[in-house]
Amino acid sequence: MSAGLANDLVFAAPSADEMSAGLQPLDPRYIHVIRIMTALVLLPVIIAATVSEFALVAEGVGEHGMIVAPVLALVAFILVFLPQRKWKRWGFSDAQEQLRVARGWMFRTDTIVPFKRIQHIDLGEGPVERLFGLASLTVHTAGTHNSIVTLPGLARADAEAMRDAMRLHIRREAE
Amino acid sequence: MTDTLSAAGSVAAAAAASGAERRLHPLTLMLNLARQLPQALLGLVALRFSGPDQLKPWVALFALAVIIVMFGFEFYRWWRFSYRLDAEELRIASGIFSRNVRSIPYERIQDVNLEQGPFARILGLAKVRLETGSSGSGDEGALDSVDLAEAERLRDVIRLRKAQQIAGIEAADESRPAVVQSEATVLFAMDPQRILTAGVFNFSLVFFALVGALLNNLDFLIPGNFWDPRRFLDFLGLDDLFAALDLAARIASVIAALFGVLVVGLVGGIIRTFLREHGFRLERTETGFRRRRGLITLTDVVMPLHRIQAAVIATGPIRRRFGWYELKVQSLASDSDKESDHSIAPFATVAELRHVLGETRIAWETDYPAMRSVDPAMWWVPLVLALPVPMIGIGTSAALANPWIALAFILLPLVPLFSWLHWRAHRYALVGDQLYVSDGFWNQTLTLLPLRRVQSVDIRQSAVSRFLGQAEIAIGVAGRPSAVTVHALPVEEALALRTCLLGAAGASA
Repeated sequence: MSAGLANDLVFAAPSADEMSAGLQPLDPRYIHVIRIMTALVLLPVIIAATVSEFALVAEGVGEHGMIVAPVLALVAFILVFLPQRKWKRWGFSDAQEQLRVARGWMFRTDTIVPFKRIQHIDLGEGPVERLFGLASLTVHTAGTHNSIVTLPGLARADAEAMRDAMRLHIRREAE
Repeated sequence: MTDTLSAAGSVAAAAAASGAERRLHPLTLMLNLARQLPQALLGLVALRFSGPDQLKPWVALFALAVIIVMFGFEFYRWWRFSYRLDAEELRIASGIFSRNVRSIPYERIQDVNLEQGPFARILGLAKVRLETGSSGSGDEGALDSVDLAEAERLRDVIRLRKAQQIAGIEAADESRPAVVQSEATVLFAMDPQRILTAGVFNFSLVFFALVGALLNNLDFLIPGNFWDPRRFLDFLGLDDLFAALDLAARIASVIAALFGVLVVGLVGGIIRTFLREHGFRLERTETGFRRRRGLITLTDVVMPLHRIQAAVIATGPIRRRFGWYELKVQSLASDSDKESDHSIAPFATVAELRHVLGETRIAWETDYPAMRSVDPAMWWVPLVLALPVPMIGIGTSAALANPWIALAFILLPLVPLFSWLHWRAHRYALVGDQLYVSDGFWNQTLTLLPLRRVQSVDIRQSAVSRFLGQAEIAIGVAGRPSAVTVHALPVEEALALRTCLLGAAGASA
């Protein structure tokens, strides 16, 4: 795969405008996770394209390659270039006793949850994440909006360390 | 099995705490049955009319069997449901096949609310609802129903035990349960005249919706040409008369019809308001507010002050002119299941409202004129993106189908007008340790959010607002279904506001 090339392209910190100041990037291995997850989503598309192409050729319409070729090209483009772009849009920070998670580009959301507001913490590992030694951290707040904030793509040890740091701040409601 | 379960737990406590097993009021049985009866009847009616022919003679027998089974089932369920006030906790045992014994420590009970539906009021029953802090639907502990005296006794005992548990005092004395219930001061009440005024402002066309829905569902009963006006005219023999009416009379009849709508709307609003707000009383109890209201369904809700997260002052352009406001608070306690805001002064003057608000720890120090407006991009950006679609749509259909459709262009300026009014109504301010956000030109709301109640802060930016150098801020607050949002801020302002919002959250708590 072209992972090596892709990783070389984007090892800088996320875009350096004032909105994103102070953010750390996710673990670069998370790019592979995104790529595999995207591939799993795209698989049915490829299958559908192949099936319809064979059906059409059997009917005598067109030639082999007329659907599959462009679809494969598009899929290859998505799998090569999109995962690291997606990865680059993520950022987090746990400075100043606050968990900050920024994500997305078309609709960018930058969430801050003070550690003191965290109700409980989940540490999750999907099968693909586990393959790369990654984990995701999910914090729950009392708010109805934003009651669940998820930060994926952390090295497992880092995620555990962050969880333990946050756990110290979880108390019963002060008032 | 229940006996073994509860016996095991009660060995120590029973003697001291006089925790006798109690059942719900027997009349509850009737209530539950009455609730299920309509469905059962409908099923039987359906069977009678549309079932297979050979079954029809048996319907009466079948009905009897159903009623007996239902009654037996309900009775057994009632029999198996019991509750007990232990020294430390309230225990509720329930379940027919799988037994469940729930223990709720008094300490964990936040509120005890009483609710009375129309039938329950006739029978003198009340539903006791215990609010615990859990995020569930609020039905974690409900006794449906006990008689009113028992409900009040339960509330008093639970409050007393809770107070004792917190204070660490032992020796429950059930003979004087009314200690906690010291004389409460009435903060706000509404007399019928006030409710009538509120009803006038509550102009509501819900009656038409209701009649419409009924007609929709019952239209199989109505002849097909029922709504044809000619039929009425034929029926009344007025055919010739109507033809002879001149234009003026027709206009007059239209005006009369509009007037009729107005009257129905007014009456509908007044009836609705009376049903909900009759006998409204807000009292200050030791720990918070207690609100009682309702004409047919009485509700009695307790809101501890420390669970109130934010306040909302709502009004409308006309109500504001007459000086009427509504005060709602957002609390972690769940009211009747549908309501997330607790209206604690539905129709009050500024002075009354400040009096009530003064009891909470929420200040009201600024208002619309002194607040900051946001960037005008809030109203024109969506227009630029969205308006071309209807414009092109109307244009093409006018060109292709009927030139008259082009008249719809006359309505289009309304969209920018409303958008602009919304922008103008949207302002915010940060005064002291509170955020103020005003919204809406028709339903005007002013949200008062103490910074210590901020749970999380989002800065959001779409590709368009990034291009314009803007962002919006969304604040998560507990007990509030949606975020408190400030739209269309310049990025620097959004970042600065976020720092202020979180500064307080970090400091206190």
